[in-house]
Amino acid sequence: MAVTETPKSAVANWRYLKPEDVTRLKSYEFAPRLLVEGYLAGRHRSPERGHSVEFKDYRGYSPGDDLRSIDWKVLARSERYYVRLYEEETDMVVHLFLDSSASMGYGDRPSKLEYSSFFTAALSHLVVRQNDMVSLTLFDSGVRTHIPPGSTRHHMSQMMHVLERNSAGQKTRLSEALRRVFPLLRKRGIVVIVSDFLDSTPDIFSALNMYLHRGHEIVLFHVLDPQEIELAGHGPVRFRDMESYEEVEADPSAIRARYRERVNTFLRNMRASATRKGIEYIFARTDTHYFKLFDHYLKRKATV
Amino acid sequence: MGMFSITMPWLLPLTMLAALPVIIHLLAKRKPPRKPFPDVRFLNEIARVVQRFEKPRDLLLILLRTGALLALLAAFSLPIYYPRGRILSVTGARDAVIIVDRSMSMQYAPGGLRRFDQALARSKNIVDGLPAGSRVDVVWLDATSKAFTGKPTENMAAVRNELDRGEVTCGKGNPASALRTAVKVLEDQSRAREVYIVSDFQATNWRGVDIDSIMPRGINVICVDVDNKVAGNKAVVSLNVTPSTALAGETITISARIANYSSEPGSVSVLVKSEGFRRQEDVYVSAWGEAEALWNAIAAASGDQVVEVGITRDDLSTDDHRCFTVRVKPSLRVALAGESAGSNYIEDALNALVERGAGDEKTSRISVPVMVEKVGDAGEADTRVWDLLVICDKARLKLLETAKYEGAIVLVDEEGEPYNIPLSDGRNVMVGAAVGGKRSRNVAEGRGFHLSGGEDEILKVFTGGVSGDPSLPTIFGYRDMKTPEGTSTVLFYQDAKHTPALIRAGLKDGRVIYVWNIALSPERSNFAGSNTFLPLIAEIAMRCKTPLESRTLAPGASPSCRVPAEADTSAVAVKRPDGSSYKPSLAMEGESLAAALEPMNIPGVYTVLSGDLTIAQFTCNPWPEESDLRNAVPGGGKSTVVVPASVSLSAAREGVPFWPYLLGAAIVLLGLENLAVTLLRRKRGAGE
Repeated sequence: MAVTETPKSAVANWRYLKPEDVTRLKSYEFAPRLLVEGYLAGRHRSPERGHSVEFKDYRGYSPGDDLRSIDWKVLARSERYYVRLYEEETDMVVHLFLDSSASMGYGDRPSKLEYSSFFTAALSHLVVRQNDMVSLTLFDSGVRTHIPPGSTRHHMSQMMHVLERNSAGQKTRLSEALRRVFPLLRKRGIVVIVSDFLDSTPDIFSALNMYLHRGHEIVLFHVLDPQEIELAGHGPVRFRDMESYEEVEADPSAIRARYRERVNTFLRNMRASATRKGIEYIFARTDTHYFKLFDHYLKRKATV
Repeated sequence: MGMFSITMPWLLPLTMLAALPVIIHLLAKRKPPRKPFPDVRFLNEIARVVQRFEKPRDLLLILLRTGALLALLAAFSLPIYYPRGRILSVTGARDAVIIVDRSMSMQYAPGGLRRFDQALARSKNIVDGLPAGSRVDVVWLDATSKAFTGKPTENMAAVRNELDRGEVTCGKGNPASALRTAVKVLEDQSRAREVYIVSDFQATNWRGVDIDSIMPRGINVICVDVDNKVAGNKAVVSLNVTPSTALAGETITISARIANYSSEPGSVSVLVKSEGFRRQEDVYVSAWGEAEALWNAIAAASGDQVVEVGITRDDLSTDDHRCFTVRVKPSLRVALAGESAGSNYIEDALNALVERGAGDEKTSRISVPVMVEKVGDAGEADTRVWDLLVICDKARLKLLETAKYEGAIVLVDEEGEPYNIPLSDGRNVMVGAAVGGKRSRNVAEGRGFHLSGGEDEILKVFTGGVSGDPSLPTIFGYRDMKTPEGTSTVLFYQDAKHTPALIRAGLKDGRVIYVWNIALSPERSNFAGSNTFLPLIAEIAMRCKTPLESRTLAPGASPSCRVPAEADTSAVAVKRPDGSSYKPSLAMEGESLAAALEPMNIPGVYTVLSGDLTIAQFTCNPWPEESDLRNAVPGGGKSTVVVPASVSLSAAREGVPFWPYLLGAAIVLLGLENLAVTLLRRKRGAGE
């Protein structure tokens, strides 16, 4: 198992990746549920059988097979030609999608976007530390930034720069972004989407279908601010939509119960839709530390 | 429509303070702070539903607060409510007429209190409430509609006394007449004029009465309603006895109609009684319908026989009982004048009616008491009244003009010359009659006479309702008579010409003359020996029965009767139906003394007595129209004001202080507002 540590100096200045967080991340490991395919020999099993130290099986020799793969000891014992097969380990590619729409700018210390950026940076660090590759796509109504997969320090540095410069943009069109990015993902891997998913739920899962079909493992991190869920406050307030600028006047105390019920229904629908399609779904509140997401996610993976 | 009057109008501008809650609401309503939110679609969905309830709640609170304030401010202005308008808006003395309904429907007494008593009480209230110096008169609304004084008087005590003495009648009311009387009373008065109508406004009396057309301009009409409610009533609405003048022993038919003026059908127990006759039976009467009951009784003795029909008493008891006076004559009085070939047979037949009755025992059940007298030439001085005058000799034809009779039979000579019978109305009964001088053949062939009357009526030769073929033996002898115009052939021969056998001529005064064209002597005819002869004579005699003057009268009638010579004139008295009695005025009428009764206003029997001797019995019955207690809408005129029964006159005149109601309303509204606020707070608390 090859694990490369990221030098402390490489993460010291990043806004979303503090040295203390890096230290804490040492105890975490990010691994896909499915097998991944890769160019470089890595720690992840690949469906392709190849050169490796991990013996898998024998099969009869066929003309054209590499003579080096013939198990001479078996030939000596049985006078038959058998070829040794090994399980090949390969690199994992994690495709990170970070929602940078206007609604992600909601919330104080941190906003949903900041919270998601912390999480994205930590996840990127974990992946790169494992010599796996990670790509990053920032989207709102379309794809704002796409960094192809990479696992170098420079790559990591580039991602951190992008995250730091990132700010909440326009209206959320996750489904549109997923469709646009799909051709750019050449290798199967893990698609991690961090968003508030304030888009049409059927459209989102419709767009995810193509990723599932391609064999990607999908993980959805649903980030919401507590205020979005609880709707605290008294007296009439004019709520202004951060994306459409539509205004609604309401007294939170009068509508709170109904609102909570409606949000819960939304969350239930998201979870149910994800479960139906075999997609990992993790819900996150910005008032909890993002490390808990790792705890939660990895605990779940262990169960799986 | 009711109206309000404000005692303290200068406080009215303060009602503008009612806008205070709205202003406070608008001022207190802060513009809510704007707050960015990631996605308002959920809020939008919910807020739309919630606002649907929230806004009306806010509106309700404002309305409650505004209403409470308004009611409070209005209460301080001390308003007075006039339920039916301010009927005494004219201040100062006035001339007034109070029309008080005393028709029979005013006797309706639900719960024991008569409508008439309520009317009197309300009338006295009117008198008491008139301003000082006013003058007033009372007009009784009944069949006659008489005024008390004829001119408005300031003597209120006399007016009150007149009201105290007033009594309800059993007659009908004539509103138009009463209104005209009131107009007449007020016509020369120059002050403010008012007519108060205190009535139950019974539909049968008031329908079609146009107050505006009767009342001239300048007279205010105030309709004061008395118990104008839908009231059910059952009544005996008619009682009839036929014949109304009967002979002693004659069968009389009593028919009574029972009406149900209510929406509930049911059985009514009907009791009928007369002299020696009493029956009771249940009669089913449908809702708003009528039923008829019939009985047969025997006219017992001569004199006045009272038949009474009654039903179970209800709240209007006056019409639950009806009476009828049947005039019973001891016998028919027949005068026989002159002689002829057939006169003996007529005389024998008439006498036979007395002895044997008409017909044999199997076919006839009647016995006609007849008193036959032979008369000579009756002069003007002869005052005897005959039921039937039989003239057997054309020399006595003058009797047709001089004698007093109800019906006459003129026998045509069997062998004589044709003659005319001149009638008093200028007609001749028989014109150019040709008397056959020879025996004729049997033309009837045993089938007898056809019996016909004026309107194809079959003459009932046999009593008991049997009519038709008397199976006559052959008839010999007839005359070729032509029926003159204006007469009808009662009997005719079965020949080709339908030769008249008995001609009936009606005089204009109602009397009847029969021209007899049937040979009676045995050599010419055997009709006198046939079994048709006696019934025919009996029938004619009964039809000629002189009707006596009816003693069944409508309310208000003032009848009179002859006091017989044997009566003690000093002891003549009239006993009213209620048991009281009075002495009638006696006066000579011709050669006899007559007692004149006062107007009959109590339903029942008025008996004229002289000691133990009953001279006459008069019956008075209520008007059937008065039994239908359905009411019309009072007033109807443009200038009329209606004070309903539920509104007291003082309230209509002085109004009802309305401020306590407004104060109460303000308290209730504030209480509701408080409750609404508490509930809303509690609900908001639960929501958090």
